[in-house]
Amino acid sequence: MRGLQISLNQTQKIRFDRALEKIESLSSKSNSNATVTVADSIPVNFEDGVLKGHGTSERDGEVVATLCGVVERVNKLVYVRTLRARYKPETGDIIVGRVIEIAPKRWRLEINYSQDAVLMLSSMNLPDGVQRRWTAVDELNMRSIFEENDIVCAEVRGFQHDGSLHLQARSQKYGKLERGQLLTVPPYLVKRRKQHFLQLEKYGIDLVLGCNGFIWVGEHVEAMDNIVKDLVSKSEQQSSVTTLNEQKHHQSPLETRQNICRTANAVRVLSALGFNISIEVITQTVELSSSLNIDIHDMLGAEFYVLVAEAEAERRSLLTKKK
Amino acid sequence: MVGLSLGEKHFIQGGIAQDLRSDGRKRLSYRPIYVETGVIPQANGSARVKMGATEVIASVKAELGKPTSLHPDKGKVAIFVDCSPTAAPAFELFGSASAERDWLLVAAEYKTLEAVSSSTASEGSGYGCEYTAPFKMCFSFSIQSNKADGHTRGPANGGFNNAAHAPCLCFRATTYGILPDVSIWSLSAPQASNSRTRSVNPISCHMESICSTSKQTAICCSIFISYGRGGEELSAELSTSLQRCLLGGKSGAGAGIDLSSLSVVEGKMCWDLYIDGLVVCSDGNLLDALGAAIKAALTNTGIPRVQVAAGATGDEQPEVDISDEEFLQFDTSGVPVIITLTKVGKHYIVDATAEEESQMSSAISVSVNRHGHICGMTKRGGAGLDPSVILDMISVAKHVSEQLIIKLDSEIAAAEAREEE
Repeated sequence: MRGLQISLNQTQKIRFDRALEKIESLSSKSNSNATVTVADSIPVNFEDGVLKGHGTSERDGEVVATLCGVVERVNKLVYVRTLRARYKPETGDIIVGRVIEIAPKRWRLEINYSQDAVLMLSSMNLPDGVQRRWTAVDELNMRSIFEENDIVCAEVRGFQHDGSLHLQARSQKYGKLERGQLLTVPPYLVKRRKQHFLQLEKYGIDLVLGCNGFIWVGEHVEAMDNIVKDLVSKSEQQSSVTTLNEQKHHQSPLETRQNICRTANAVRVLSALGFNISIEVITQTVELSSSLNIDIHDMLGAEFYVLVAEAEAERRSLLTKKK
Repeated sequence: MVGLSLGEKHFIQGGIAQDLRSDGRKRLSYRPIYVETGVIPQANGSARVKMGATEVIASVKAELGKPTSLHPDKGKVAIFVDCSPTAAPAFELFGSASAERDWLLVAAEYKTLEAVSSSTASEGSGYGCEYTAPFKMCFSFSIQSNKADGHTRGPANGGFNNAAHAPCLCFRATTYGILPDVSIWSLSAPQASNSRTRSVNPISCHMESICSTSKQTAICCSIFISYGRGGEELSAELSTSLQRCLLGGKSGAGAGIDLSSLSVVEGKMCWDLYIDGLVVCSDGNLLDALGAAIKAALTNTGIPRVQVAAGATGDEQPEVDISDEEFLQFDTSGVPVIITLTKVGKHYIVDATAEEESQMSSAISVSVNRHGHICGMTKRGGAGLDPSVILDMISVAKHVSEQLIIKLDSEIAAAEAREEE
């Protein structure tokens, strides 16, 4: 939590500091030996023949850290992993990106990484669900699938030999995201979990936690099978003419919109406080705010920050007690 | 400013229509305001104001100078605003001196001049021609990167699809003779560059206009590529708006800052205040934040006490003794606050974020003082406004200003108390 600048009055400051101290005391019990700062020497068994990785350097025969972080050892490799690193993609990550360019047979997406990711046309399902090869006509109609500035959810397929990042969106749950808002949080707050697509049925909203720090909060859209969608749309076309126009001007109902804003504000508060963002914490924060009847905009005020910090301290102490 | 997808734009517009914006605010509520005073110790007064993600710093320096002959009993105030390149990528990209040479007009084609209704057509030569009836005029031109290596400036593979990096294309059409009754220019979106070869291809635009006139009109059109030096244009616009809002008209009437309190010796010596604003981080609503920062900085300003040596006669400059210890606080009860109302669709919002500002049709900034009097007004944005709408927006602004003045005063007082600790 860098530079949290909200005006807290005296009592709020005391409560806030107390909550943060409690959290720190709970977490620092585990592997405090592994953290290093710049110029700390790393204990290494030299007989094994150690490989010096990122964040280390040799000085006077000793392996010395050049970054502040945690020492990781993999077989003979020793490296220092920073805590607030830039997003580092791994195969299988779910990410949310924004299309910035349409190139021949591919889309280029911006994903908060040092380079842009590429979504090949061949890594996408055809819109009508038919399994066939993409033809030149399909290539000319790429813009009808994703346009510039569209928000797309995809999975990392892997790195190519030239270092560029490739994505794939072959499943139903991937694709264009509409009817909601995109939030940007520091990528190190989103840890890799089993579930990144979360559907909060109680509120009727969809939540996509991209590992790259882009989080999508939007109205729940049924991910229909393409064949079913085709049949439905054909029958609808016979009855009404402008299905497409209606879809474009669809307005989210007020109830859903309130839930979307509440969840988005919960994510904003958590990211400002520097807590890891996961589904449990988000639902807990949203329930806290609605149980105390806090106005949606007041969630960004000083009092709610303190409440969230205290609630997080409680939750972590309960977790450690369970262990 | 990154672009927004169509879904996001609809979401923002729908939210404003339903009185629930993206962060849960109502249409007329402000983001949390955080004020810090005394951030620049060398200045006479300074303040930093954060409204959400927008962050600005204002500083006030006072120097002794000579008053103008038009107003011998008043001091002088000058306001300058600078947009730091760290505030937004657009501010930095076009700031360098070589920017103007980077773009080259490749082709300008005066395409067609068609009669909308049947009438005598006349041959057009070059860009000008004469017409007597409603006509439609089409223009197309292309610009291309002029850099030696053929790469466009900007993101490596962005070309022009990122609106923040496109140059501002400005098209001027001057008409000689009787002005046409209706003239609407519509600019069709530039075609996406084929980025197989990293945007060496020119970008072309096609513009159409339908003019109707019943008299003879000669139309002479010039293409003027105004290369938006993003940061400098915005800085100049903010400076003039602030001057208009805080200093009143040319005769000094309606000034928010009382200039006669700055006079030392009438006709010979006065205080010159130089107010500088710096935009550190831009997330919409810069004018309001700058207005609040200037108000806070002026509250924080201490003008040294001046002892004038007696017995100065005629044109001699009187001797003055500037005290280092004693400071007079500047009286800021009359300084107005600036409220910007942004019109999106049919509704007005206050304190728009950068995303909401990208959807605006027009915006009005009104400066209102403690007594509810209007000290200045600026209109921005391309769409026109009906006068009744403007009057409505002014009354809304006055209503909002009451709460904002109270909030701002309490924040400034809290900041001063914090500074003293």
